[in-house]
Amino acid sequence: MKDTFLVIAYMAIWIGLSGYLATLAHRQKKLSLRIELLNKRLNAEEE
Amino acid sequence: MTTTNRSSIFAGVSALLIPAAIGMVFFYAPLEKTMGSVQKIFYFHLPLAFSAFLSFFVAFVAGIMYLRTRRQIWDARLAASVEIGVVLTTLVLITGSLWGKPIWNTYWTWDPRLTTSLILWFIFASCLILRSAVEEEGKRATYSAVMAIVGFVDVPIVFLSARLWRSIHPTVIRSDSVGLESSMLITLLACMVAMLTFWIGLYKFRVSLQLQEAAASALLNPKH
Repeated sequence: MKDTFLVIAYMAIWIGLSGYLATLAHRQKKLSLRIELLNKRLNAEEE
Repeated sequence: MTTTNRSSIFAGVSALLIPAAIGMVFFYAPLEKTMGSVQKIFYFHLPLAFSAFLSFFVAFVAGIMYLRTRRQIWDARLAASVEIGVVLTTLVLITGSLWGKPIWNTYWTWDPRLTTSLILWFIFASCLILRSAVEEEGKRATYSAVMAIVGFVDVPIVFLSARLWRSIHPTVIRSDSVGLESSMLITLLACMVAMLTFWIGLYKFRVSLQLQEAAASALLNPKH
């Protein structure tokens, strides 16, 4: 019984933290796409 | 050295330290007599709480600095630390509930420490909601700076709540001593170092992301 709570707690910590890191990585990826879009827009304006 | 590089170094170091700390929790730290194995939640519950307090302290300092200087970097630091603090406080509340169930026979009780911690979570979660609701950059930064400064008042209240009022929450760090056996204390310190290293890496990465997002947004939507 106590072992179950211990395992769930440690899973919650690492799933929580890695989930947050994955969210940040996704935001970083989205940002890269936005920057790419911006580059394309600037190039089109120059042309 | 760029911020991203520095955050990668901290992430790499914490990727080594965290498994080592977990190893110490399960193979080095002794089993507590009364609570048994579930007491091992403590070794990450406390570092998570400490890191959350650190996040809110950084948000408090960043809030003051933003109001004084009006520089965007302080708003980015505030946003990053508030978000990290809310994530960590959520994990503190979850792990605390999971520890409470087999020991207190309940997931939640309106104990001073638990209640003030929940209030802290609500204050800073509201700050995140406020940030997503206000579109104008200057107003958003000012409002969240004020909220982070006022919200920080709850941090010492959370810390002192178990000492000031009748609480069932254990108090490990007292003014005169630390109520832990030496091997337990060493394990706790290892977990604390691992968690703080992780926190630094996460914070640096989150600040750089915030600044990049703001720069990209300003270039894409020059009106805002």
